[in-house]
Amino acid sequence: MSSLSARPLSASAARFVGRLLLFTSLAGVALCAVGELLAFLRGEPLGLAGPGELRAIPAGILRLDGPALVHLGILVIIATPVLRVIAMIPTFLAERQPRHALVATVVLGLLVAAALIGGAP
Amino acid sequence: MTALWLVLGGLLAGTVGALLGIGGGLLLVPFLNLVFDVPLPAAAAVSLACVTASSSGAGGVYVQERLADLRLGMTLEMATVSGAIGGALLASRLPQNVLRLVLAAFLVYVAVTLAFRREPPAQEEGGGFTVHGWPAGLSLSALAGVLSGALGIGGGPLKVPAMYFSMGVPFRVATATSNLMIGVTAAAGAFLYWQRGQLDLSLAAPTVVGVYAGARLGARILPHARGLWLRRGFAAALAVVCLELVVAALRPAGPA
Repeated sequence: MSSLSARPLSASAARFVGRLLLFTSLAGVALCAVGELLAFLRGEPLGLAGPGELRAIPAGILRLDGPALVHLGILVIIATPVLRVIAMIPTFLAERQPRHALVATVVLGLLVAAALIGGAP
Repeated sequence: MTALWLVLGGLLAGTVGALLGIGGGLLLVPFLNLVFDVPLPAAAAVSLACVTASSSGAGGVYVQERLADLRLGMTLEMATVSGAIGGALLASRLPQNVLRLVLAAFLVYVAVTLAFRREPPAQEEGGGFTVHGWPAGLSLSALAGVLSGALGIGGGPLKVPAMYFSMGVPFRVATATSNLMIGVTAAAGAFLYWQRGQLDLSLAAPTVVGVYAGARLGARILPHARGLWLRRGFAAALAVVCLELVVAALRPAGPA
């Protein structure tokens, strides 16, 4: 295992990953905030979210429906760390650190496995 | 009105979580449960969504400032996520209450050591450092994953001390890196609750907004925070975790 101080990620790679995390999570939180505000102003109830409500999102977004915006925001927030892991694979390859790209791929595989196991009845 | 309190509570939890690398879940779950009477599974679902947001918000800042180490984080994540899957699968077969009490005793020891240890100035200030002790760090991260999967606690309380004590990572870098890592496990957990339709948007939306703002604030404070005070704050957070573990272990049998 290589030592840390020997070859850190380049500044541009760190900036890319940092920005990805910040922009995506901010987008998710902004959707939640706007959705919450609209739902409050219109008296729309916010309820439980799950795969069952997924189909209502696209039409709800077009209507600027509060609950649909919040639901999408939460999904964007949940997706952000996974996006980071995905983005790390090409980033590590570009930085010529294939071993770490492999590690990121394994982490992604484990996450997919966890989602599949958890989804099983 | 409730929403406003959720934003404020989230703000505090987010700031503390970003500073200590524990995501704020250990404050959010009792806050939602005790103050708002939210049942535990629902509180955990909201908390996991919030920890995910806080991890990305604070983690993004730490990555840009080169305070969080992406390679160290990713490598330990591999161990933690495997451990968490194993822990979740084994949960029903493990003596959970015994594990809780053993873990609580161990965390008391870690907390006391963190609060009173004198350390080499280099590690305190977080200048140049070399990560060593990979076997110990990886095993402890896997163990942190098993325990978080089996007991539903976050991995941060174990991963930060593991990086600090056995891998030579400065405390500040350890909490920043832990912040980044917990997002992956929290996202997986939040996704499971969402899959089961148990994520309450009326609670999640305001709390997420507060936690995220708090996390961005905490991320601005961390570079200026003194190592010793961070360690003492972390020790205090461990005391809260110990309390929660002991209460959970002594509670009459029921849904964990």
